[in-house]
Amino acid sequence: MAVVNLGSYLSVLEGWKVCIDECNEECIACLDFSSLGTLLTDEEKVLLAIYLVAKKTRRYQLVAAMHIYSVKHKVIVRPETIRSAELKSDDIIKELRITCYDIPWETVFWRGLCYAQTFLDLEKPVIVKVTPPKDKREREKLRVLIEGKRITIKGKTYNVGGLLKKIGGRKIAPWVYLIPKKSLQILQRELNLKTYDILM
Amino acid sequence: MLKKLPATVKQIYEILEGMGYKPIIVGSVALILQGWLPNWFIDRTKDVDLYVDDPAIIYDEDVEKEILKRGLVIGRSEIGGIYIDSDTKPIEIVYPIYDFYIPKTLLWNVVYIDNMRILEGHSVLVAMSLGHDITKYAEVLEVEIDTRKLYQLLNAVRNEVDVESFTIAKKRIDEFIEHYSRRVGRHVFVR
Repeated sequence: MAVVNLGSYLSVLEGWKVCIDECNEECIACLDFSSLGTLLTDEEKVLLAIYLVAKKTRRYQLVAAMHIYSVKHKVIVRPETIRSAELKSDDIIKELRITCYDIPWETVFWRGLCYAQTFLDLEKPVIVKVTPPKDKREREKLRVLIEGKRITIKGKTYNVGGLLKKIGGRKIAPWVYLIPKKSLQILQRELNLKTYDILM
Repeated sequence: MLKKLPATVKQIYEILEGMGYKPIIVGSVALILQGWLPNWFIDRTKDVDLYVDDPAIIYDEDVEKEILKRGLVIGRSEIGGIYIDSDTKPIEIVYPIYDFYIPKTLLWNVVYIDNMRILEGHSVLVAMSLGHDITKYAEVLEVEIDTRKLYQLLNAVRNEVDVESFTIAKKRIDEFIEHYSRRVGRHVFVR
């Protein structure tokens, strides 16, 4: 059914793949939910798969990937479903190719969740208000650097290039931009904080 | 028992009830409301826990909208739990998160105070034992507990929790009863 690359949710797990209802050599774990006897959506199966592997191996990074997946896909599984899956985990997990650690689950779980929340927090948008320089030429130079060159084709104006597009931001008002928190550092570096002010 | 719960607690309770969530007051405050713990114990609690047996609440944006509409201040804990500021104690909306939850069998035991669902005392103690040590409550308990009921409830949830959690909870209940027996000066162990 699916091969999930956990690196899509947590970059440190790039290349760590979980296979569901199929198996290939690249996967860290292969799971088959046919013995569970509960109807699950594809997303629920993925979430449950990452949960079972995380609990078996006691790795907080897998817990983090699980929580990020849950938040990004807005999918949750009820405790009863988790319990049923855990009872049948030996049948469900067909292959496990990574080391398991012997760490209390509660410790691993909460550490993983806090770790995940750090990453999720970086995706949140922040409002940045740039104080432009007074000099007209410097101001236009800065505007082009941030927003890109303005070109007009058949009466319509477009912005080409610009740092904002590169970092996935949006202009919401003159000199006020909405950018992902993780891109703030790039903006500060490119604009050279010594010369211009950035207010959050 | 506490004469009055902060007005905000009732407000939040009614919001959740109106949205179909069936909230239950759990934790130390549940014990205080039933007269199991003295009123002054409220100073030792950090918040009022309102348990909702639906993990989907965390993604329900309407909950936040309804709370904000009433002029309340809402926040999120680092793992996304919902925190509401109040005139006295903050309120935390607690929900099942993966395998950390209050077993359904315990949730069937509720009492009603001021038209609000409160988890019954023995169920509160068993629920707490699944998460942490409960001996501190033995020092201040103001009622005679039915130790047989504690064990009955714990055994009833055996199939709803994993073996490790069950074993640890049983140990915690044993220690709680031992502390309580020492305090009242007689052996109250009943199995």
